[in-house]
Amino acid sequence: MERELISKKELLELTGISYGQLYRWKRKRLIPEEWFIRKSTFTGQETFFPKELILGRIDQIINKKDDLSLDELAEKLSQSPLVPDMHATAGELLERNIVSKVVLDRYGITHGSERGAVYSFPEFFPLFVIDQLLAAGEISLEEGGLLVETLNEQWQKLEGKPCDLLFFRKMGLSTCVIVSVPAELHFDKGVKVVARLSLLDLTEQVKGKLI
Amino acid sequence: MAEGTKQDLKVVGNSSCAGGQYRRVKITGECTIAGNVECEKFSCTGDATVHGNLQTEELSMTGDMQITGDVEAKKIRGKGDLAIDSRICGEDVSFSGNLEVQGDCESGFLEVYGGIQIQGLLSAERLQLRMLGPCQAREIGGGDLDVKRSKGTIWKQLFGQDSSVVLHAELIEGDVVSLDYTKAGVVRGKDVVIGPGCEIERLEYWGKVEVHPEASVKEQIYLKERA
Repeated sequence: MERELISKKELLELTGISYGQLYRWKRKRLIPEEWFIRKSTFTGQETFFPKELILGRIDQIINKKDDLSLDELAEKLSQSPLVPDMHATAGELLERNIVSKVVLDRYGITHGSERGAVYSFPEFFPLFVIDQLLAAGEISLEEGGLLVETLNEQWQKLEGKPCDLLFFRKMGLSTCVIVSVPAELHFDKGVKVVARLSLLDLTEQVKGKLI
Repeated sequence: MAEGTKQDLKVVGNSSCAGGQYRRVKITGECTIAGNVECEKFSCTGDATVHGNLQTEELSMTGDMQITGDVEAKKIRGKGDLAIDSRICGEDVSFSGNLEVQGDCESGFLEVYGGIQIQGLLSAERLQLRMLGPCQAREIGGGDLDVKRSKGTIWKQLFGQDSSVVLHAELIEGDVVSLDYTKAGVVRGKDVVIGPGCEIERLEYWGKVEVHPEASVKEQIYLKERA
């Protein structure tokens, strides 16, 4: 899946930030190095960014920079990109719209979704992922269980490597797979890929909601 | 090593030693350090080579230094020749001499008297470059960029050897940009002053612009949608 990119010029125009700010945030590691993508254009080399990620990140920085110093913010944002050291209570997960009540009731670590139960990132992230898919109406609640199980078992083994989650169906059977990217996958005709999600992008989204 | 037990490293004369965590590192003479160094203050008079990364609060040097890894320092003060095979990141950098970086050079305040060769990106919130020799950077970006010839160039001018005292860059982007003797592909900024001796292929601005009669700008574009 090709990500939508935005050029540096457009980014500055859209967000109203200055070059000075952009480079300061880059230096402070608020904007990861990997997001600076260099490409050739007719005017020479230009820098592009993954649009959704950078706009989200700049929004976070602008909103939070009054409460936190840039260094504190950098620490929060730059933790190991795929498995940040974050915790949240069930109540927080609900309030910040990370996980819906239905999912929490059914797949939460404690039965009956006590609001005080503390979830670590690897525990609540799978719930966030299926919540997204359920909300989009792409999977059923049972299939969600399969995904949570797969993510719980397999995701840790990837040790922070960027990867995609694929969910597909054939003849009414559903299954899922986690692949490290970049990877191209080719299926037989009967397979319908229901969803392909970048876990890195989703991690960023959760981080944005929690900070 | 526990926080309180960090040792000082002092080298006088010619020697080599292992990297590690130190409180203060002081080299007088010649020294090769094999491995990463992490310290509060690194000072060198003479010749030092670090085979690894250098992380310090303050780096002060006179002479020659070569670092094969990344350099991370809050404050850098130096005179002489500094060559970094990887990248450098500093808050407050003031350097006279020749600075050579194979990767990116990112800094808060950067002041250089002399020459720079930066293969990657040179970024600074405030850049003050006073050229005394050939300067080159692939890309320059930052807030306030100010590039001029050093006053010392006058001697070179007397002997007709000043033609090499020029900055070459593919792309220069900044909020406030002031350039002298610069050859660049694209210059982009809000308020731009193009001084004497500049050759710019394409200039894009959305604030004020000033072009010296002795400068050449092939294409000048006013970005009115941003103004």
